[in-house]
Amino acid sequence: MTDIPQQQLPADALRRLRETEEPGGGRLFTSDLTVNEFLLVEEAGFTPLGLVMGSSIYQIGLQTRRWSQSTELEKLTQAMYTARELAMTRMEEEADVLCADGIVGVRLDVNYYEWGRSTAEFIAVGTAVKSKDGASWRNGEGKPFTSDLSGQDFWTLLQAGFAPLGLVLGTCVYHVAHRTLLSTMASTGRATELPNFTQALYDARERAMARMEEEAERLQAHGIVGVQLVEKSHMWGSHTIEFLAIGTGVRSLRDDHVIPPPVPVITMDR
Amino acid sequence: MTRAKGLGTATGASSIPEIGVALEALRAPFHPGGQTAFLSDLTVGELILLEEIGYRPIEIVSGAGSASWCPQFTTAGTEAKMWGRAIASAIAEARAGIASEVSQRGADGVVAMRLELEREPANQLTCTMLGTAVRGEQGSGHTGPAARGPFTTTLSAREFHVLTRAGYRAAGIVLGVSVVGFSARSASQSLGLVRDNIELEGQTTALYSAREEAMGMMEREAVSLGADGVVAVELSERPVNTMLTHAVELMAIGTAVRRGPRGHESLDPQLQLALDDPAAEVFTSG
Repeated sequence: MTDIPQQQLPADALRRLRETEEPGGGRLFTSDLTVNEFLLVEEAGFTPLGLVMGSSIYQIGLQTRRWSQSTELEKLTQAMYTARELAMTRMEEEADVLCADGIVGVRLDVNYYEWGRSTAEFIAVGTAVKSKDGASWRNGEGKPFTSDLSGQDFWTLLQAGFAPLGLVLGTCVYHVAHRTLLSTMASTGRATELPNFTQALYDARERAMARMEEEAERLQAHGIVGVQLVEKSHMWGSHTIEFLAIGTGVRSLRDDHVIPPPVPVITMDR
Repeated sequence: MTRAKGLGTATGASSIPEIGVALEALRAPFHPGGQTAFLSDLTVGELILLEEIGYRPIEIVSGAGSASWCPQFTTAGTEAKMWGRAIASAIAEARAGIASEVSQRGADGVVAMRLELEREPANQLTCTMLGTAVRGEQGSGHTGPAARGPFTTTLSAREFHVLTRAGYRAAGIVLGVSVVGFSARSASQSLGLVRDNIELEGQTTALYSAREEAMGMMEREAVSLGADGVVAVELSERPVNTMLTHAVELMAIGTAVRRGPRGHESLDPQLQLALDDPAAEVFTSG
């Protein structure tokens, strides 16, 4: 949504990323992938390089909301977008230092600390990987690909002839109008749809998803897999909700997407 | 295969070699204490998975350590550092304890280790480690403790099995910890009265650096173990209750691994389709 200025990584980050390089040419890798995921990423033809992360402590401004009006709160939307972008850009820069082809298992988190009202830490963590075949797997913008898929999903995706392009997300912070006393009384004790609420939630969700799709189009993705819709009120109380749509944009590697037929199994341990 | 066929056509127990062996063992006189019994909190399946890759359980081993520090003699700047040092020393003590138990029993390492860190009031901290000591069997290529002492891992027996099969060896748990303190913010900031969206650069850099420091400390420890990498890293953070500053404790724990001489050995996973239906959930969630 906004142009993020090129951020300088803290000196400690650069020091950590460079010191794991061993004189013999080999390097120590670190990864928060589980053993299964790590082995499947290796199996898929990628070597983990290191844990990369980006973080931003962001103060979210104030925006007045009208009690009885359903509307998007653009300033808050903007804040949620910018802070996440800052964290992700820094993570990608760390991956750049390691000359990675991509980042798998990306997690985006929001932490709150007691010392900060209306302040949150946005953090992105993932495992930088490099392809063993030497080909470049970077996306159209020359950046390492990012994906929030698990190691298992990553392996399966590549088996099926797709490759991840980038993590795409769309967000919308929405204020859902309170109901007037009259309408509350009118519907008390009756089973009825509350059209204002329905409409507001619909609208907010559609906006978040449309923005996610825009990001995918910008990456020229064939599609988005593993989409999650998350609704959270963060620190804003019950009527202000963030709708976040997040998924992995993928591209097609070959024409057919046939996998060996899965073996049907019945587990005996139930 | 052969066993199944044998059972199907057997007319007498003695015709099946396996049962013959079992009967022979039962006939042998029993001397209490003459056998080496093992003790483990692993399930049957997990024990079989360990046997499969040539590891035998020996005994449950544990180690404990504790540390404390005195807040009276500290100032705002050093407080956070002392807390970090206390954690590191408690963990080191527990690790030394479990390692010496492992060596005493002639084991090669510990699997499925539980690591618990408890913060108690009055700035006290205890760390306990509990796991199953295992020994590599003769001829399996795992015998003898590594040159750098016994290994410890928090990985489950299942994870340890698949890691070993793919050609890796566990080198030990590695960890890094750092604590960062934040000074108080301006009144308008802490009341949340600032109207604009801004990044708090000072805090961002402080927390960022502290996290990198924890990760760097863990990585240096892995290098000193001669490891090729660290898997299953867990990053955790929690607020530290101190009187002088707002402080956050950051910790990174993982298992350092070494690649075997043949590098990554393919596991060749197969795709499966489970035909189990999920449990019925009708009328349970309203």
